Amino acid sequence: MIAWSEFVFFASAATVLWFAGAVAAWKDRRGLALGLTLAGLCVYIAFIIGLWAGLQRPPMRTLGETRLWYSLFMAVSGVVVYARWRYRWIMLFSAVLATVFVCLNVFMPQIHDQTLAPALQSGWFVPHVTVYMFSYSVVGCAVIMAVASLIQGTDKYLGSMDSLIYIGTAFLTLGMLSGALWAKAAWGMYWSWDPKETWAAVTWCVCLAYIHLRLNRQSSWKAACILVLLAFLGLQMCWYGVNWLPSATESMHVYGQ
Amino acid sequence: MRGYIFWAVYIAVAVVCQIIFGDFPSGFFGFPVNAAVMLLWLAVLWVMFREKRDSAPVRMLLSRQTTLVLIGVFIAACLVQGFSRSRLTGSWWFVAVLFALLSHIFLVLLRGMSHPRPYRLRFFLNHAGLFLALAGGMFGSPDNRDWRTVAVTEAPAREAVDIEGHRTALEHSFRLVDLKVESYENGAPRNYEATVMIDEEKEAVLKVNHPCRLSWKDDLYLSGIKEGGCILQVVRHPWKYMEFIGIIMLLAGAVLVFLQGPAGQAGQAGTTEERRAGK
Repeated sequence: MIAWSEFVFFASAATVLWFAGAVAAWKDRRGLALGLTLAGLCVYIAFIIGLWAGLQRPPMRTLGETRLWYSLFMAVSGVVVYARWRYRWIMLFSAVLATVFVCLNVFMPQIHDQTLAPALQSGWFVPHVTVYMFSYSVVGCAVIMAVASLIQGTDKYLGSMDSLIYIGTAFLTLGMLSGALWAKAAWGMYWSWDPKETWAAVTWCVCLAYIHLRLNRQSSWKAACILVLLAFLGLQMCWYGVNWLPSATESMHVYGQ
Repeated sequence: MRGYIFWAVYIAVAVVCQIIFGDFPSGFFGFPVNAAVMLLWLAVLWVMFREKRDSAPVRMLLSRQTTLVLIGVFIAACLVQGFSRSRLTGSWWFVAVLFALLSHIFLVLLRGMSHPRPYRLRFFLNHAGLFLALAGGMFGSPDNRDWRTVAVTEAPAREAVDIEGHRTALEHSFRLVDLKVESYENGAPRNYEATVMIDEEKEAVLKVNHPCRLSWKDDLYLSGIKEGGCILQVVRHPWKYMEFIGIIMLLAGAVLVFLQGPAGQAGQAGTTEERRAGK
């Protein structure tokens, strides 16, 4: 069985392969870039499967466990964006972002105990968390493009940003509504304005603002980039920032900080 | 500019109402008042759309500027709630923002469905779904109730306490028949399951995440365990069907957003260079 103590070995191998893939992408060696990144993903997924078996529950409860999924989906999003739009630099940025969260798990280990609260033992648990983590990583990729646009002073990434925000918003919607259906089964109401739910609504609405702003051809591309940055800030608050707010003590979403 | 001024005055009036009257009197809007108000409001919007579609107020209400302003105001309202420890969703300004947003969504929906447009099904599912989910939540909230009681084996529980701490007589009685608790090695609860006798007639097995239906509007939940008994939650949520339909429509709309990608001009707009080149 695989345990957290072995994470550093799997993570090191995966990040080396992701960076090797990013370098190959930079040198325009597409096949090699995709192959190396996919190999890194296989190593990382092997750890997650082993950990899942070792914990005897889905590794999605603690903040550290959600970081695990975020790193995975960040690398997946990077490789998909590269395969689709062939931006040579995207894999490097997605690898850096994924590695930041890998490092957080290596250097800031948390108590990864095996217990799972009864409320989390639901069929909604796995789809809700994975869909959310995937949407966070897709919006993360859009942020990389928004920053690149603002630094380079160009709107040439807007088309890709549109696609990423549409995908991210679709998955945010699926995550938020699967959470609402689960909340109805667990607590009696679809929506309770719990701090986590409120910040999820903020993030979702910022993405909707982006979509509606971009329906207008004459809209400012800088305003669109800033909205993407705000959406990213909102989802950081929703993911873990909310835990630092005074209202977090009354949150129903506190399971395993 | 007039649009910005209108919405600024609208929110300011709601804030003044909050200062003068305190929270919105949602208790007054219990069924059937809420249903009547909702139907009347929808009828007024429909007549406005049909008869005065070209008037300045309706054009302002239907403009993209209003969409962005109302999303922005709603985000601001959520941010105030997000940073606050108090529940502010019952305040005048929050209700005013929701009401304006719902009016706008309904009018946009009427306009969008009145003529052919690309991605019509996706547009309908997303806007009608959001409208139903939000309207069900807002207009239905005065009818919602949440009671807690402790069921024990000795005698049936017939009273409960609501979230404000008021005691009330229940329409059903609950007696605990059996309680199974599984624990982890460290003592943390893994799972619990309670068998409860309802009205001394019917046995129901309750688990966390698996409520039992009492009637079309009431559900029974196992919300915790207590020494010698279990904590039961009776939730009255008569507008849940409207919210559920809205959620399912929104889920289908989200799948279409993923499959179909950017809509309208956004997907076709391209970059400045591409537009200049006439691509």
